[in-house]
Amino acid sequence: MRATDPRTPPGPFRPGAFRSPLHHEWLGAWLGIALGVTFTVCFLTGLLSHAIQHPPAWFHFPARPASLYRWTQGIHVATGIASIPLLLGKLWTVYPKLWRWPPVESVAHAIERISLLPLVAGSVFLLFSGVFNTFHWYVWPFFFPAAHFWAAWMTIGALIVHIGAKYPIARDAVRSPPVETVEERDADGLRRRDFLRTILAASGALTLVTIGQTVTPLGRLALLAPRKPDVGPQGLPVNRPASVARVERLATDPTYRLRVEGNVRTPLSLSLADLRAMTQHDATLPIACVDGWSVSAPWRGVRVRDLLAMAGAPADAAVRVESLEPSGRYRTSVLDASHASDRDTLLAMQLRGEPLALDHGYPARLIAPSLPGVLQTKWVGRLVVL
Amino acid sequence: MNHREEAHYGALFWAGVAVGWAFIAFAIWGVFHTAPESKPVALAEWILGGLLVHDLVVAPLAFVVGYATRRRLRGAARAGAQFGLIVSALILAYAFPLLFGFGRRASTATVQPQNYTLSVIVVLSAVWVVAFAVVLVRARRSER
Repeated sequence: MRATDPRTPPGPFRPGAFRSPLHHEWLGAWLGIALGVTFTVCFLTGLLSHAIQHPPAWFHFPARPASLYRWTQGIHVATGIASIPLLLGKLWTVYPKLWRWPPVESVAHAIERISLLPLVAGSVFLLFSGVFNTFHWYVWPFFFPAAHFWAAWMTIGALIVHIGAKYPIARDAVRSPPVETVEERDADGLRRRDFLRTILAASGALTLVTIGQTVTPLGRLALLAPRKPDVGPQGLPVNRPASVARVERLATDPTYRLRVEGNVRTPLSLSLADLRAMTQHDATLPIACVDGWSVSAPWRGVRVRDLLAMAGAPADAAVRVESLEPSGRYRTSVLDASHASDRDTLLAMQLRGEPLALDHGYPARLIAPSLPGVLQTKWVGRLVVL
Repeated sequence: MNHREEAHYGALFWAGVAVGWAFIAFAIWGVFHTAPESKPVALAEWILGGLLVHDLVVAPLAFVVGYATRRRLRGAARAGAQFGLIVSALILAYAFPLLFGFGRRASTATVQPQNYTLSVIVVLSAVWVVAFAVVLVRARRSER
């Protein structure tokens, strides 16, 4: 029987417990660089989406180009999905480091390792909570946008610590690829470059079968997308149907009136017939959901700026758009001056040449260029000039 | 101490610690500042829970499957099987809620509108066709 050193830790703590050549700095460095890029893109596009929905005083999001938000949020979700193989591949590559013994060797090393907790835990949480959100699978008690937003700050902070610690090692590893031993070269199974290609293939495959929810020409390939751009009433998906918003009775009430009030010279109260009698305009604009799906469609209705002019509102006024729905976090939205005065910002009453379906906001909904879908208020009952 | 590890705790590391932990502190403040929405305790449970599921369930399972593949398969078949298993597992890591219909509701019919069992079969079939191609390429290469 072989004598063992009592100071030698057991199991996975034992030096050499993980023998695969795939647990290598070179692989970890490349996957880390890829994740650094995708997480930075996700963070910046996520911050932008947050700022558009909760604008600070200094922030202004332009109304043009009309598809700007469609692309930034599409990239946010697509990049997050593509990051799943990168993250799991990276964690597998560096997994032996979890069991290193002794666990810490200096104060700096302890800080580096403690910072890995928010990095790894935050990364896993961000990707999976983000994906579950696109599936509308809410199995947690917190409000997803708030949790996702603050977890992102935590994770990016930990990523900055990690880059500070690993940049020299990653740089050296990338500059000098490992020389394979004869045994490694002749061994069966995936070699390091093959493993990297495999992870990238998985990332590419996931992108290919989901990106069609944003890039409409690839819609037929969107086999694993939670939305199909052409599936829904009038060929358009719906996030919040009228039945869920409990607005069916109010929206179909024959005495419906649109009121234009607030900072105006002449408050208006218009029936549906009055609205239909006004000059109608056409605009082809996308609905771009925070969940990452988007699709462009032809809308027809009254320009918001025409309504504001009729009511005598100031030229640079912002407008609060209020829905008929009795409650709900997104029952109102605020149009800043550039969106309110845009030629294509409509109170739409038709979609694809037909009256709006109830689930799309009948009798009238807001449609404006470059805004998240949650701010394109449906079942509009009142415009309040601010 | 390993010299390489000593070397990277320079000015860049400490600058990263200062900036990075400022971000983390901001995040912690934010979670408690928006506690009614963020629900700090539940959020911490979910964040740590995901980590534990990965480190103690997913990763060991990957090792078991990897070990079995190494024991059972030889030659070109091993690389093809590893490719197929890794890509399939990563796709399923994303798609498993779709397969089980988690989040699907009758009231919101345009969320998850597809037959995802069929979708997963089609996608994984394509993956295993590529895996078979990997086997053929490897086999041909080893013949030379």
